[in-house]
Amino acid sequence: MTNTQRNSTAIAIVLVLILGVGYYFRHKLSKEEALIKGKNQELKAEIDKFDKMLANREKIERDYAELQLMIAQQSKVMAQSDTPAITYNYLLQLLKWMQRNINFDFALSAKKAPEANWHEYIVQGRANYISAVNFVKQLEYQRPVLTIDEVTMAEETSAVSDTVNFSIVFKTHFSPDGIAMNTLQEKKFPAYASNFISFRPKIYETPPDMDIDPNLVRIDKAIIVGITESRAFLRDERGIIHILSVGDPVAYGYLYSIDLKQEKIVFRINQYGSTEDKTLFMQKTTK
Amino acid sequence: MAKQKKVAYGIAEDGLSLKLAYLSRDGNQIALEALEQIELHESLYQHPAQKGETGETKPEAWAPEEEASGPLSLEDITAEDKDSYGTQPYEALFQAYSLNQGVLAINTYDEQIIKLPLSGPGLTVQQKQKLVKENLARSEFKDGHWQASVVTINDQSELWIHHGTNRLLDILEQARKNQKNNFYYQLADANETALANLFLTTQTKESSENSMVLYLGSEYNRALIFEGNRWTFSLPIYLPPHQHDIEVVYSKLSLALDEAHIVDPENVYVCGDNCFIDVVEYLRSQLPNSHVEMWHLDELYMDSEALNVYDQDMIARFMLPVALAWKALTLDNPDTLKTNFLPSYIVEGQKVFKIAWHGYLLFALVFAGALFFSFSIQQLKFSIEQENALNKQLVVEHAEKKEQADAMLAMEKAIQQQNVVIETIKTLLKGKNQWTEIITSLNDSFQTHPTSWIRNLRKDGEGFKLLGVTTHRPNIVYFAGLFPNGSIINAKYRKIRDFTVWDFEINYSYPEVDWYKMMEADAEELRRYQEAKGIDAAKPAGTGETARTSLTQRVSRAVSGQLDDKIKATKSVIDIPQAPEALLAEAKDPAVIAFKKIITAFNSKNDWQMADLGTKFINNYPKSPLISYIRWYNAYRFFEKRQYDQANLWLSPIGNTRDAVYPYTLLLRSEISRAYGNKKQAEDYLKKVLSDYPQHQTAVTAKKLLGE
Repeated sequence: MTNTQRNSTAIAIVLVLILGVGYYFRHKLSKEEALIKGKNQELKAEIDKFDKMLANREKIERDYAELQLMIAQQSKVMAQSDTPAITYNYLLQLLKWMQRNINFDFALSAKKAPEANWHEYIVQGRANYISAVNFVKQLEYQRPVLTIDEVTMAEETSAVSDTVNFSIVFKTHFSPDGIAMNTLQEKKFPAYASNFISFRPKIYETPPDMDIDPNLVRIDKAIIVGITESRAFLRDERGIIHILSVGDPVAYGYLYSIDLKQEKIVFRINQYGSTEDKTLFMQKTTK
Repeated sequence: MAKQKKVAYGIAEDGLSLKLAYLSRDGNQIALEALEQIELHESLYQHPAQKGETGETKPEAWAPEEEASGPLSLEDITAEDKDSYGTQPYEALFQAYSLNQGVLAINTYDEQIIKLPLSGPGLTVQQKQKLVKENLARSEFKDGHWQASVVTINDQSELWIHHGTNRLLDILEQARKNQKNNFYYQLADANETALANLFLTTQTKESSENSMVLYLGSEYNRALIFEGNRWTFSLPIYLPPHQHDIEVVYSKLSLALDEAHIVDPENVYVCGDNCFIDVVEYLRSQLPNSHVEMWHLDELYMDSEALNVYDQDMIARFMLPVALAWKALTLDNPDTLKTNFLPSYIVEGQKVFKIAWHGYLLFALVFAGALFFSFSIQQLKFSIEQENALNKQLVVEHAEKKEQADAMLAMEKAIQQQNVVIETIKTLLKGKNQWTEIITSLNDSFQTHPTSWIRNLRKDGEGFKLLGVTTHRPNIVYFAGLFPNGSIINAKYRKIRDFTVWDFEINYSYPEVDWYKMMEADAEELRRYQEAKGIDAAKPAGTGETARTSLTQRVSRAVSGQLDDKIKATKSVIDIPQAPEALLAEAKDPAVIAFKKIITAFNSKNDWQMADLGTKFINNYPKSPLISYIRWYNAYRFFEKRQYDQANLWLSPIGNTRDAVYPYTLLLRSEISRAYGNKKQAEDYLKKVLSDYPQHQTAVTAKKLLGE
């Protein structure tokens, strides 16, 4: 073999090596490139997917913000658990928040199967009407979800009483995702306030027992003994003379007017629940 | 590193004599290393059959064997021949010297050289080819067993063509094969040109001075005439074989000189195998006008060891191999005669790196292949680098988007969960808890419609029942319209004393109470309240359970788009720079909004988002003074995550910016250096803080860190 042949052979071997090594590395790098390109494609696809998901982002964020606000407000929440002790304690807590005392009987009225997520209780008692109304309001408006199935309110037998008899049947609802009752803070809302008691009778068959100031003149047992333009002179059953001007109180009412010309005086009296005008004449019998 | 000595072996055959001269060259000094001579069993160029038949001085009797029967090489020698030869003495000679360590210079057989006078001083390659072709057999010319050189003697150029096999070369090749070595052949020269070259390159003569080199070999005898330093004649002295009688030699010499019309030369230098003192003395006696001496080569250096073994007389007898080795060592000398009769196949064979057309073609392919693969591999690498860079970017973007998507999914899930809860609450409360509404409405209505009162209020079937009394009958109709489906069950007249009253009974359906609307109204009220007070919107109003709301707080904060103005307090060993309010005064400035987003990301430790926002900020607002703060914050977060290289990367562009952030940068760099274990550098940074910013708050920290 000549040098040139040998050299050509060597070069041919080098060529083969170069081709082989070149092909190997090219193939390897091509695979690597394909791999990384594949990864990038996957990433791009996922990013596109995320972008599509995120297209709704503003709306979801808005909804979420609203939701968070609602959660933060805790306007209504489920209790985490419930037992009669928890509920009874909660009722006492309500009274504390109301700063009122209501005496009531408390009982677990019914209990569902163990998997049930509510308990039913009965509260029964007698209370100031406004307190009872606010107690009901507390049960309904405070944060825990309690549902009142039944409320009964009845007038008190006493005609002038501010109290009512009441009974309330309510359910407590609870869920493991709920909130421990003892962690709840008071939700502030205005208490119901009114001077009017709708359960109080306005007209009585017999006058109700009322504490009347013994110093006040009872007009049904008094006579006019004198009258001027501005004053009237009455003598009661004990013989005591009472001098009254317009507006002065008497038993169950007050002096409404003096009519010197007709020698009469008019009282406004509410002895049976409704205001009545009663007139006394000089030396005449009471009408 | 010392330059290696060049070594040459001059090997010359002459009849049965084979001589070797071992010379070395160190710089300009050529030294004699060894001389060796062996006797061959038979001459390399004389067929055994002719031995003893050669008579007298007939040149034709000396004709090389190949002229009669073609070239004879060692391969042509039969086994029988080999047996008759036995072990050749030259094998031992060639083994005794490391011929592969130097270059080889051999002589050629004089009879194998054809000398053609030329009309001009030189020849073109084509002219040379043509002449050779004309003077050689067609097959010989085609075989390439020839070599030609131009020789100028007495200003007359001649073309010397060496043809046929160089048997000395053959036996050397055989020895090389036996030794399994590589020999490098430098020169194959004719005896006379080798000797003439040695004379011309070593002797300096006046131009009018005639000199003669008389070589008396075993079979080769020649007189070379020089006029000054010009070679004028080459005279063959034909002697019968083994005839070395000096008188015969002198008579043949005289004849040759006479024929060439040469008078006695002034200097006669005798050398060759048969050069002995008695020969010199005889010639002196015969040439009284000439200065006859043995050719002493004073230019050849001999060390003491060589001097112990050799002397100039001995060198004169080895002048031919010495001349060959000398020429091989001095080819770089411009005065050296440019003759070389090495076969072209040997010359070409020694060109180990020679490449033919197929080699060039392959080279081109190698180049093309290498170019193609280099280019394509580089392209692939570039592409991979780009893809990797893109990958990094996509990974960051993916992580960011994933985080956002996860947050959104979490929001969606939370919304769904809460919707379930809300739906549950709505379901539970639907048609319930109207009693407050009922009672308070009734109370208010009864108050405005005297004289009426309630005796009883209770549930009745799917609705509720009201029992009441009134003195005014139209009130009953009014009360019946208070709630849905109010149905007057009865209204009975009776008298109480003088008063006429009506007992009535009305059934109602429950009124609708929209608890969800109330919840929304509550939330709206909370939002207004918190906006007015600047309270975190997500903070629960009704519970102290902070753990439960921490997630919602965070997500709510993120989604509500509230941005921070300042970095929140954090446990840090170093001070954290706060952007001055003056830079953030323009609240609607996009750069300020972008910066606040970064602060929010920093506070929520959303590092990837911060890095991304930071990069965007730097690209969008390259001249903003807030960039230093952004770089510092990003560097700090990476420092916290122990990614110090990344931290340095963020910090490096502001490393020498002496702005408000610079003292903080020094502190952070100090901490990074400490983390790398470079305490000295860390201390240097702290000292720089103390020296450059002694009144700055960072100086206090620097003092603490320095332990002062």
